[in-house]
Amino acid sequence: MKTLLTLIFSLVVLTAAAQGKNYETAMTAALEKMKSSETVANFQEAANTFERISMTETKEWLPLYYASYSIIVISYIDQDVNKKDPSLDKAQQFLDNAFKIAPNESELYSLQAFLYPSRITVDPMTRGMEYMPKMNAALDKAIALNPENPRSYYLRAITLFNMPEQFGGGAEVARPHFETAKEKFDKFEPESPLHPNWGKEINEMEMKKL
Amino acid sequence: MKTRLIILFQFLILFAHAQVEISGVVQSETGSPITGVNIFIQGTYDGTTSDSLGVFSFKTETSGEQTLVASCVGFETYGEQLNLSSNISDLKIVLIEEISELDEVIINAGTFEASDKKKSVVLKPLDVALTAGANGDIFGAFGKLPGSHTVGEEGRLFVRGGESYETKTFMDGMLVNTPYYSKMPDLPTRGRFSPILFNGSVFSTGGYSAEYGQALSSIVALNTVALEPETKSSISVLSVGLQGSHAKRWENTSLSISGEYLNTALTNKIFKQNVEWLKVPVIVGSTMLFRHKTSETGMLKSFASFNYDTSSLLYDNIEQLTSQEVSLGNKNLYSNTTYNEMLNDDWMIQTGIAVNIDRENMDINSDNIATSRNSSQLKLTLSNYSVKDVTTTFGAEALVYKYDQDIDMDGNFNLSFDNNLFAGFAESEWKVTKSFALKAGLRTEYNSLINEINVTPRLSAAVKTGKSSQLSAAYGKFFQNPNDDYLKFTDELAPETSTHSILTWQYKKDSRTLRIEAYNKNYSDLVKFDEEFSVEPGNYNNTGSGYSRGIDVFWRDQKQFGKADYWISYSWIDSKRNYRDYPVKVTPHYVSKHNLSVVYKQYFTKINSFISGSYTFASGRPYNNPNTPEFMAGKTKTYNDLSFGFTHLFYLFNTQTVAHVIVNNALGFKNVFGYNYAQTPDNNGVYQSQPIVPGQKRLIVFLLSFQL
Repeated sequence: MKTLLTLIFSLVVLTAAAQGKNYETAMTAALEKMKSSETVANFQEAANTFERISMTETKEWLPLYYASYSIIVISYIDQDVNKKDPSLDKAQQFLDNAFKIAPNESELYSLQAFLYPSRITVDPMTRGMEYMPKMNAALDKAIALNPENPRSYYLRAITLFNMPEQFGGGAEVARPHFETAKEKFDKFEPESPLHPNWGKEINEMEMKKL
Repeated sequence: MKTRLIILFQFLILFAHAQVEISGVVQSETGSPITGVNIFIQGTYDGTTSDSLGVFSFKTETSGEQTLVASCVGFETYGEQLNLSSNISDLKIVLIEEISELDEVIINAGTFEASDKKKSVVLKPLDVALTAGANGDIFGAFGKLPGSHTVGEEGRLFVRGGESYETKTFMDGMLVNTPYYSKMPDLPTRGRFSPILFNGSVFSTGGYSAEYGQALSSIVALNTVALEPETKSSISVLSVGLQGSHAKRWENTSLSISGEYLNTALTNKIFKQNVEWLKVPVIVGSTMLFRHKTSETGMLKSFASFNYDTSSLLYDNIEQLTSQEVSLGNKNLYSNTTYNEMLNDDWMIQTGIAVNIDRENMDINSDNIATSRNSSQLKLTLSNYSVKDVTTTFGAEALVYKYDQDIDMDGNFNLSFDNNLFAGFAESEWKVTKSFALKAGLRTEYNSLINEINVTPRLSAAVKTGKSSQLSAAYGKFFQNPNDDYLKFTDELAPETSTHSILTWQYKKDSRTLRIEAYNKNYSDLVKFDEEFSVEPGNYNNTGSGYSRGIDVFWRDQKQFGKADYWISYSWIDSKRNYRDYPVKVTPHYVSKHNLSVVYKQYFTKINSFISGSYTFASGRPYNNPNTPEFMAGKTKTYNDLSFGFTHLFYLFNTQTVAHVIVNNALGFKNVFGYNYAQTPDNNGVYQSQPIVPGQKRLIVFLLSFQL
């Protein structure tokens, strides 16, 4: 009897550990790949990997976060306007699913704010008026949920920096936001190695252009 | 010892899975490789992404019966059962292209829709607001679309051989009984509502849904914006007046108010007027929009507008060979409140109430005509989605209308009537497949004044003829009560009727759209009379009839942002009718056989400027010359107009500023809309005439708007 119990118990523990380890290993490997990605094909591969993980790990928001993130990055690299909306729809779908798992996650609102400007590039005349307020609202929410999340400040800074002065943007307006972002990045410690931790380098690169 | 052995054994089980390699290629139906496809074993992490040649290969530790999935944006997801007992190579996966919203069949015969949300439409709300030559008027912008005629002295929409009253306007599904400002004789009017109030609109030139009735020719359905995106204010200074607005946004609620004062005194001084104004046109207006999101799917909208316009001129009335002082004053209040909500997954409710009060006062020398038009409407619509691919809508509405006219002209007369209209409708749309859809509806109406019930069918369908093209057809019968101008004299009239048959072929790929529409429209029961303005009820009858047939062509190439964007619209029409006091069936005076509009827009990012231009051409319109024996045999010369709009965005006094200039009839074409003739011949037996011309040859309006 004792033997049987040991057997069952160890089986359960081992399987669970193996699976947990499996998730971490797979995520770590996928993150490594994503970080070294440069082309559309690389990011597509990363997005696909995270999508596969997300389908098995239905309680984790991180795979969905990165699947969405990779597609959003593609939408900024790829110039074909006709392809943007369908792939951003997919990125939004991942994000919506992630919101269901972690409705109060600041990082998800930051990512939402990262997605909106890409929608604008499809048709700036009509979409600017709709998505700019949405983006600002998402950033406000991201900051309210976690004032220490540096990506919210970086995204606000870069958007203002790229916006023409006529619309209230420009280097001078963006500068204080870049500086806040830098402060926050310097202090930032991700919750785990798998949690979002991007943006520090690009923030510094953009600051040099000011 | 035994325990240790067991543990060891377990390790072996856990880690000694056999690996299987799966490889192959992913292709489209045409055989071209698909790159970036996610290929994996369902329920595992095992999988890969296809490369630039569509080739893939991956290993898995699972075994037995498994499902292989291949998914990619733009294609239908593919699944295949595999037995993973040994390596699988040379697997060929064919993905079927997904019919996206963009390519899905859509019933669009007779319909032009402008929307930000729907991708299948050919117009954006901004197109409506920024069309050069339309002067920021919704109806002016729709006048540059196929199916409408240029009728310069009216400013209203005339669609496919129909008079302007045959087009009805709706806001959020509710009737707007008096959508235009009041009108001076021979001078154009314009719509009361600013196009920026709306984020979607439908201009239907025929064959429309059973939801709408009492319109023989056309409907314009406008949808107001939902919640205001943010709190903001603006002040605009125009060469013709002042405008201001403020919008406040809360979490689930928004309120916006605006006001305007327009006065053409300055522009009338600068641009030589063909009209002798005694009092220049002045408009004072205000609007209020309240929005409240009651739940995830519920929305309460309330809209109110009040405006007042007044003007006075010296009218050279050649018909009666006298000069008259004509003064016009109009007060108009329009308000509606609508509530939409999903009751559950299957049912949606839409309800609304609308009130329109219109008072018009016209003085002709010492005579006075005071007209009051009051209408109230209640409407309830239920939509059902319980059957897959089928949407069924039921609705009912009540419309109470009171017309009252006091005439003080050689004595006092009162002409008035009340009419209560009750209508019910049901309509069902069935998307049989992604490339074939059917819609059938029925509308029934009861009118208290003419005590008649009628039932009208509406049918439409669409079928894909290729990936980017489709054919759509619509048929419908339409009833409309005779115009107020006849009903005030007699209630012995029946509704006028028309039947529409429409066939539309549309090709839409990426930025390009080509639309060709052929139609046939038959009119019957049109009002005829022997003498205009006669108070004798027996003077009026329903024996008039007519027809319109024609072809409308629309081409648009909407390039990426910052590139040229233009559309060309052409309409050919053959329309004749025998109504009013016509002795024979002829083409009426407002119909020109050929109408052409070219509208061009471009945004120049470097200089933050938007430029738009439009050219409109219309062939000559018939007019009746009493000096010739034949009725309505005269033909005016052709109509030409070249208009421009220029918008520049910049920073002024640290405030976001928009400068806007519009130039109408830049080349100064001398357009003639028709001729008025004296009712009696002069001493030589000749009926004297006078051309009907625009109020001014050229018009330039400036606007400076500050976004606070």
